[in-house]
Amino acid sequence: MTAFNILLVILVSVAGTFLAEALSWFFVYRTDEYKRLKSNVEKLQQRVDKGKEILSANAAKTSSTSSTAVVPAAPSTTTTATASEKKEKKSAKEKKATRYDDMLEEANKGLTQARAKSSIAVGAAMIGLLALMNRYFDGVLVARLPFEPFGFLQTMSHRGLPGTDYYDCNMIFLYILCNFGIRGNIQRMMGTQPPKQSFFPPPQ
Amino acid sequence: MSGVVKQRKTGGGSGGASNKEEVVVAKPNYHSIPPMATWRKGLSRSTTWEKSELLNLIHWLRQFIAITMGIICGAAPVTTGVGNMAFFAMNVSGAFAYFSFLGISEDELRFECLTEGLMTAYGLFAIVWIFVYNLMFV
Repeated sequence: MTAFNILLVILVSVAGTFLAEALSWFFVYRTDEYKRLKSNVEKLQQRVDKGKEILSANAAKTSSTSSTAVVPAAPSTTTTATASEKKEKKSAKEKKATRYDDMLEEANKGLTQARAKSSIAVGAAMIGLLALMNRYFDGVLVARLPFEPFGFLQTMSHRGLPGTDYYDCNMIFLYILCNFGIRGNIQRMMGTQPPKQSFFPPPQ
Repeated sequence: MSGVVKQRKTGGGSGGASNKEEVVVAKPNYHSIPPMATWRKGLSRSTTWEKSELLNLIHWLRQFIAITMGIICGAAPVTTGVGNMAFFAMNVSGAFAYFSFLGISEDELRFECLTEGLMTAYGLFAIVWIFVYNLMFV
């Protein structure tokens, strides 16, 4: 019985994802503005990646040459001029890479803002879907968890259920897990995943 | 850049007018499940990768590992938080081992590959684990 309930929640999550994407397509994805923004972001991403490759290749070249180069006794003016030219070129490339990074960030913000236009419709649809599911699954044991959730997750997973056995799980917790696991993959397959926002900060 | 190059002949007719050839380069698809060729490429060391191609492969590899681990944990059954810890430990250690195999050395790229699809994979792992456990033991 719980396996059937879990399957039902998974199916509803998949259906909800497709509904959300259909609404987003209707309000946002089919517009020329969104297509233009997306293509801009992709081009800038390619330039940023290319710039990083060039910078890291230059860094590798510099480190290898410095480890094997013979240090002259007294630096001549011509070698100083060449070295300063190389330095200028490198800093120009770094500035270009930084500029593309900033442009990409701006473009991503524009894309996120464009997607936000559909958020009201999608939000309303999701609330309606959740309300419907709540009516059907209110107070119902949807699944038995193989692990005991900790902290606030206990409150979330056991809400509306009788008793204090925190291995019992309600529909909301399972639906959230489905959204984590299934929605992201469906969006990725359709090519409509939102711009990357990492939970973790990248290394400095 | 990888892609399919198609040639289309347009126009044409009498009077010696030459047919125009249109070269269309199809955009590579780096978000759906990769084809077999990409999976085979992922098993060899000395290959060059486009960043999006590599990240896409890692994402889907993670999803398949998550499903497999979910089935194993559900069938065993693993009934404590050890399953969650095992998932993250496996992901992190497996990722670093794969980076060494592929020869990825830049920190930023390693970080991107490490976090690519991680939370999505965890959600998938948890769902499969819970489902299999309930199917077999509840």
